[in-house]
Amino acid sequence: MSLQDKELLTELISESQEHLSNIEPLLLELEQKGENIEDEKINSIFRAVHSIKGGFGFFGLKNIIDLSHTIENILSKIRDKKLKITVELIDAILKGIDKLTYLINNIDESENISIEEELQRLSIFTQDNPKANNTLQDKKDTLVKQGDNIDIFGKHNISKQKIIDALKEGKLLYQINVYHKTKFNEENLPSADLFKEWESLGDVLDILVDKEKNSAQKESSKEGTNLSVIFATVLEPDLISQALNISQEQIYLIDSQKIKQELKLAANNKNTTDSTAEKSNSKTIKKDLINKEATSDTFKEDSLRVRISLLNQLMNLAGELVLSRNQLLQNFGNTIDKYINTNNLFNIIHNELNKTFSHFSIKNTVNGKELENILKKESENLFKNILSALKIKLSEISELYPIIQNIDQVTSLLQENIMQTRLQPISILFSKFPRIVRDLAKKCNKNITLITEGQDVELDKSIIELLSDPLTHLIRNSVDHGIEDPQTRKKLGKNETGQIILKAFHESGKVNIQIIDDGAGINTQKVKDKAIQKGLVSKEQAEKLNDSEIYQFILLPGFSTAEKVSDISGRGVGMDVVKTNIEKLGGTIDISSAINKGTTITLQLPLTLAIISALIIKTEERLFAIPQVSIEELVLVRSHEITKKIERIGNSEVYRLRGKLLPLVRLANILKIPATYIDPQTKERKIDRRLRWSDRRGVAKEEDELDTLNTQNLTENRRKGEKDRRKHIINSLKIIVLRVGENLFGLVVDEVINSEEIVVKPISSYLKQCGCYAGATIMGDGRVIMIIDPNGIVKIAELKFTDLKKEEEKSKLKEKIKEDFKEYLIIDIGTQERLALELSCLSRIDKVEISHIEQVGTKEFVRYSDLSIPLIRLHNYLPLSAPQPQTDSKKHQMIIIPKTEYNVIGIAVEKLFDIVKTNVKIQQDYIKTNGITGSTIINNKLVLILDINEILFRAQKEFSNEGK
Amino acid sequence: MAELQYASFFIKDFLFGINVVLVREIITNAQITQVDLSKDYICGLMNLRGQIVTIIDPSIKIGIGGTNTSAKTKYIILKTSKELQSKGADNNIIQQSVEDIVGIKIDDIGDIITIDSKEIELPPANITEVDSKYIVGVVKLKEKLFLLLNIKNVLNTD
Repeated sequence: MSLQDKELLTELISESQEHLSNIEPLLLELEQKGENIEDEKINSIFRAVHSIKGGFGFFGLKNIIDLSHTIENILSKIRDKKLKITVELIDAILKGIDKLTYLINNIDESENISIEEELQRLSIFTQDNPKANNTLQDKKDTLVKQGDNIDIFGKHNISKQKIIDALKEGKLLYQINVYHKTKFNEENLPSADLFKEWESLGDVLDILVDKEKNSAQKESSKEGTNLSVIFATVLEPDLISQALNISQEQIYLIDSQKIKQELKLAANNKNTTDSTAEKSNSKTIKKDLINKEATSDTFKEDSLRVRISLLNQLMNLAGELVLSRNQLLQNFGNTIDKYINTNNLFNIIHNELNKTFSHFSIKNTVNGKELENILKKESENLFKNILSALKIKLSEISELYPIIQNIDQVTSLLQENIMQTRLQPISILFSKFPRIVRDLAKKCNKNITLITEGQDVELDKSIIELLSDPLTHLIRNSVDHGIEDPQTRKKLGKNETGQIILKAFHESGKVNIQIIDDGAGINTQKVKDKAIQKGLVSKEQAEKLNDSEIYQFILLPGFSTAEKVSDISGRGVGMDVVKTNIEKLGGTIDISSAINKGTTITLQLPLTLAIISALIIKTEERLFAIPQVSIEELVLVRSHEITKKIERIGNSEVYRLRGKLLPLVRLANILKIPATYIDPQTKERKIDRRLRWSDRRGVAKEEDELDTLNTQNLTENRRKGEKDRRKHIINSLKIIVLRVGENLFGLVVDEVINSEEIVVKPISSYLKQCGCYAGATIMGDGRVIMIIDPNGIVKIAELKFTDLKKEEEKSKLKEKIKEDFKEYLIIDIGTQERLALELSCLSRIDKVEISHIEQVGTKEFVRYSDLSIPLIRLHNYLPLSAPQPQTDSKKHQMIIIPKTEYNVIGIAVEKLFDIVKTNVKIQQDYIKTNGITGSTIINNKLVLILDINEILFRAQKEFSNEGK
Repeated sequence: MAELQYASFFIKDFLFGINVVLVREIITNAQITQVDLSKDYICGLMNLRGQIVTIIDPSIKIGIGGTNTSAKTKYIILKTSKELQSKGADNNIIQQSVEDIVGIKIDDIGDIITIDSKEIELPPANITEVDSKYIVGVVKLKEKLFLLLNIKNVLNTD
């Protein structure tokens, strides 16, 4: 095959593959809708198969031609409503299309591959069907015969080119004998106009006066001419007679194979002329192919075929451009700094001049002093001149600013757009699943429908390619293990037809793909048992596991709870491959399930592979990059708040972020870098021996911390010498809140530097083993820094999020319970009743000397520290029995000082019984009066709860009234 | 009985060699960024004109103890298997390479030594410091023993 032919063939193959991929969904639709399918759709299928047949006709690949021809026949019957749409029919066609695809994909061996099975299956349907509702005659009658010995090259004078064109377009050649009333002879030649009606059906290649017939006819005295017409058309032998309205005895089918052989022979003989002919052949064929493409899809967007390798190159170049731009921006900034650093310049000049001056020994003379002044002046002048020269330079540089900004913007846009060229809709991935589900469901004797959502979601091409296998496996799992058979479903009250939803959508910067089935769900008990059986956990450990941990077992290699292994699944090989593949793409898998309700598997994938936004952070003098998509927020915990806000749960430390518990992980710990701190005085790095942040002796005061923040120059403050490093701003905690799947955790770093767009360079297999790196990148200054993978951090730190959730709920409960519990002080004021006051209402309990109590009128006052405060006796304010008379030997009086918004007052008490913490309900039904909120039983005794505020209010009024 | 060309280099006192076809370039004075949590024989990553190269210290891998970085330290950057394929190298050469771009840290570079495959002998049993799986064979040169390195095993990720 010549080079052009090879190119042609490659193009033909890729076009045919496109056609074939379009056919399958239409066939499935046909199966579903049956006869109600739109005609246009059947026509689409027909056209597709027809194009394939025609295209390969020129290459003489018999198997492909025969198979496509047979399929075409069936489709034509379907189109004519001669065939009933059954599952078997669609199956046969699908299998035929499969084989056709295989033949085309393995074009070199297509002639050696057997198509017998598919042809047989299809031939069942090409037998006449009693459903036929037309009045056509028996098929055999309409078939024209193959004409032998038709010498089209000899008798007819048709250019070989026309023949080749016709054959290439898949047309059949017929020789038709026509009797025309007009008398033609060599002078009056017939023209193609005679057969205008045929023009729409094909091409009249040549019309010849059939001399033999005419001479034979002369004797019969009929007027008119016998003509021999060579007609090229796509019409099949069984249709042409009817179409042209000519009896089939007059039509002869010309053997195209023979013609082709003849053509080839002729080609071999005439080398020189044919090589040019061949070239023009291939050109016209190419043109034809291109024309075909243009006409068939006029509703598609203008598009172009581009080599994938070219796109990859573009991606790489865009990445390099981003790196260079970053370098430019950074170096530009540095250069500006250097120029602005003029202070230093002055010193340099001054020092240099001084140096020169000091060589001269005239310093101490009078002239010397003068000289020194002159020198100083000169250096100042020099400095001014240089500065003005520099200012000009600076302004030149500042003119560069807009240019650099432009480069910055264009680079970003360029990179974005190139990235988009590689984006493809996920529908190409989803499109193959309806067929897979249909076939599998049939095999398992289940009824399943597949619903797809989000076909327009776009993903990088490489991601789509790598997703194909994992998704297939997950769908197969759903069909095989997930959805139950119709009887079981009926028993459970579910719809007999199971449903699998394949959904794609964007969320928080990632592409989510969900496979949701309404099947049996994952039996956690079975999984647990299998895990115990495999020795992965002990029985006791297994009991402590929560659901999501149990699901993780499924992702292990060799793990399967299937009783029998089918050829679909059950061998335990698939899920771990799925997991590895997804993680290769930088994605995550999440499984959630409910018994008898169904299972949902969620895959989360990053949007782009190459260039991402990242946060640059520093820990222990090393720089790292954290992908922006994983970052939820940044939290700064000031040093004085650390003991308050950092709590310990088990062995880990957590931070309370708006009520939620955030597990904290120190990046340096994960990377096994020894922790150090900077001594504020010596500014040295020293090893930090404290194990935890919560181990802090004493609490730094807030005001100190604020002072360090309020000062303009932090370094100045450091110079002032903050002796206590615990109060130092440096020792505040910088927490980066990262999201992994549904969970959040905090990564503690030393410093947050800034945010940058970085090019993700993949790391070698040596470094993949570390587990915590998602890649590496090159900074503006050429340094290599690692990109952290939050997933990896979670794994290494063995963060258990479910335990935290339990703790959160526990502490929520604790809070609630705390609220219900109150502390009461039970007192005796010398009456029979027991009184209780809420401890929170009390300020102090004290003893005063009786002698310090003074009476003014009916009121009592007591000297208390420097004040004279009113003293009240509760029985005066409450409906209580009179107190027992006091014994004179009493020297001291116990008083209670309550918390009050009014003036300080003391309450006399005789005895303090107890302080009780109780959440016992206060009964307000029976005893409710001023000063008492209610009663309750404490320690089996009735206790009256005092309403201190009410009492104080009354007391206040009384005492102030006195004043009036 | 073919003639083979080997690039020779020194690590500590040993003279090692690898097939010269495997060598892409030799870098002096490079900045290596350490990677925490990586294995001990991984020196770190180097920025080679925009590409990231993983640098391995073969001395640690093969067990002759680590080397110090001096002014003479060089890094031999090796060709990847893709590069060798596109250059049409022999299969046995391609077998020795890896997919990632790697470099090995050496103390000093030597000459290119041409040897006849006849001269390659099995490693003697008394080289105890170096594990024999890292040596393909030895050649007795005039002053020194030339150890032909099994680069594939050195680059192995175990």
